[in-house]
Amino acid sequence: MMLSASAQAVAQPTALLHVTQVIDFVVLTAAVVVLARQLRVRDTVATRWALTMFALFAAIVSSAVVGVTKDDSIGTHIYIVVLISLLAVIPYSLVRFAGALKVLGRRSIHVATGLTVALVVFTLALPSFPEPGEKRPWYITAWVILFVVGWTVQSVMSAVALWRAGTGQPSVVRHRMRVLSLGSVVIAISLLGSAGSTNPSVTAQVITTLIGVAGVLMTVLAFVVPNWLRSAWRAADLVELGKAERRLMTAVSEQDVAEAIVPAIIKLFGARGAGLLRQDGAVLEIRGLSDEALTALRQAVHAGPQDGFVEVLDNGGFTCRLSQGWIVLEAGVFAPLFGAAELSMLDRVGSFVDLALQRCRLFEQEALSRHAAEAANQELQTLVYSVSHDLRNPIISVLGYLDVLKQEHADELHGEAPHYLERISVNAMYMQNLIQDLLELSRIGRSEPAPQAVEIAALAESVAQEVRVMHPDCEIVVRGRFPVLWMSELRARQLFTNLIDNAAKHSSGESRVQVHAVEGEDGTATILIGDNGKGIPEQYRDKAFEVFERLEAARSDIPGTGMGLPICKRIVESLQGTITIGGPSDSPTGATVKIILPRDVVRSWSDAQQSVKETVG
Amino acid sequence: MNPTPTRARVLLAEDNEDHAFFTTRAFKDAHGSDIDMETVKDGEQLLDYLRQQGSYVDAPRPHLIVLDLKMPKKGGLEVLQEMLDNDDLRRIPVVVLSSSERPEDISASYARGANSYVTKPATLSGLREGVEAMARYWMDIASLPEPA
Repeated sequence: MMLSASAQAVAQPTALLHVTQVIDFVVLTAAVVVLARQLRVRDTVATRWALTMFALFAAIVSSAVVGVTKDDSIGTHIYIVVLISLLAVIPYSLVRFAGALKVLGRRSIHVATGLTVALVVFTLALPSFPEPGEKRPWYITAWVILFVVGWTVQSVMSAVALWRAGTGQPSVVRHRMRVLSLGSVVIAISLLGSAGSTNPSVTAQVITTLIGVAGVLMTVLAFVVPNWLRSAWRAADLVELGKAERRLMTAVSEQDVAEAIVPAIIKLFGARGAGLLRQDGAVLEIRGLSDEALTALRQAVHAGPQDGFVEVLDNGGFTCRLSQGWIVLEAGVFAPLFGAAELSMLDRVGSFVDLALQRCRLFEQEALSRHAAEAANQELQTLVYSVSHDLRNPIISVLGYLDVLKQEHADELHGEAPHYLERISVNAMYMQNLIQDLLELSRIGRSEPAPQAVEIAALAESVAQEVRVMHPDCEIVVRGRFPVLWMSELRARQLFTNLIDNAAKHSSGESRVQVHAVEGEDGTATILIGDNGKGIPEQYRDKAFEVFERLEAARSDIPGTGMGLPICKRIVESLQGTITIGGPSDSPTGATVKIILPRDVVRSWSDAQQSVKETVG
Repeated sequence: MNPTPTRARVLLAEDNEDHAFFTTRAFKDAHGSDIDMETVKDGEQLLDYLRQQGSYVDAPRPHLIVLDLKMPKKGGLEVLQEMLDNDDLRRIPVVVLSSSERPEDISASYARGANSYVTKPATLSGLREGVEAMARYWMDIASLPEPA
């Protein structure tokens, strides 16, 4: 294209060719303007070489557009020599551009420099240029060969290096490097096309010029990727971002968050390295950051409150302040140009990380307070256990000496003394029961006897028989089907003894206690123990399950320590069940204790009548 | 059947004075008055007694030892170990009577040669019944070796 443009500039261009050359010129001028603006934003060696390349292109194409009348004067010769020398520098700029991106090594640059210098010297040494259609002398053929070889070698070298550099990079960078690579190949093709013939047709010139335009357009697009193209290229990265965000949602510690997001950031932004820091600059996770960059980034973090996304290093080091910490990022060499799209994407990542970190903090706080509560509860349980355990010995001694007094020294006690002694005994006995119940309460859940299949029908009837002995006036009815529960038999006996005995104690008049069970559709078991006593007012029903809550005055006629229902509640809750007190079931007054046990505790169901027979027989 | 010598000698190692008093009473209630019960207050005293050292030069060998685990100076488990290491002493039957319910204490006691382990019942009546039953078993039913 360019070669033909320059060589043919003096010929009579047709209108079509002229139009394509104008297009070429406009595209190149636009490229120069875009790169010059880019250079103001971000002055890098790579940008300078790219700008040089397009400026050279533009200068050469402009000569074709303006059109210079060719004559045999020395001025025309110098003009052509200068144009061709500039043309020779174009692939060299491309090599240097690739070199600045560090995808081409020094040796390649030396080769390019050698070729370019040789070509420029050769061009300067040429005595004259042949007319179109004129036979080429040998030195012209040699010069053309050197020119074509130089262009080809340098373009291919750069193209391959750029293509390979994109491998493994985030999709924007990858696409960019590949389009740059293709662009340089396309430009080389257009050049070769125009250099192939000494007298190309107008059509051929138009085609080579258009191919050249395409190559330039590709290179410019790849260099300053417009947002619409970035978005299209980024689609794959957004999928990755979505995955990283989902991982963030499941993170439960700061470390989880850091491990999930830092690699994702590096991938998404094609960064050289990235990290997540705590608010105070402490490192949660860093990857790929140079020591230098990390030090500078942490200094920036310590320097103070900057909001949002700030560039703090010349070569593309960024900090992004979150409410819970910092994202730091060192841009990669292939992706140095952060545009609005990247910034908003980083903002989005930042918000997600912030949310995740906040959630983790809540998680951690919640776990801490839960552990503290569990520890406190455990400590209290241990205290209750050891206190009640240690209280047993002195009360046994007190009761023991009271016994000795009553048995062996009764005749020495006069007046009110025996009565006082009796009151001491009653209270000491009450205290012993309290200690005993407290100890039992603290044992439930601490050292559980092994569970087994307990047939509640048989157990309830056997408990009922014992309670009937204590309360002969009370009618205790155990009827219907009952579950077979997977639990400790000792606890089951405690549970039913407490509940049936309690119900019998609170029954009155023609006292009657009814025990029956209902099979839930969802496999649960509901056990009901009802009495026809005074019942419990609704506002006191929850209180009945609290330790030491006795609803009657302590010295009422009903004995007990008030620990029976709390013990029952503990037993039921240790089976993940619930226990509540309701109103009367089928008598006008009374209370009904309702126990609901979950499905996994219920093994099967059996009939009460049958069990009674078995128990009796 | 009363294989135990007419006057059985029982040594009680118990630091709690009251418990020592009730345990002794329960033993006497169960077996009658033809029983000699001595009490020591810690493990060192117990070993001195058995080795006839210090103030126990004239102490006779007991037929049976009732041992508390939690005692000052030397605990019951240590005493059991030292008795086990001694050819003479390990022949004396030992009943552990402790308020500890810990499975570790129970298995450690048997591992060190205890002949039975009784957890002190939690109530006075339980304690009395338990100790009386224990006394009846060891005094009236079981045969005890003649002390060496």
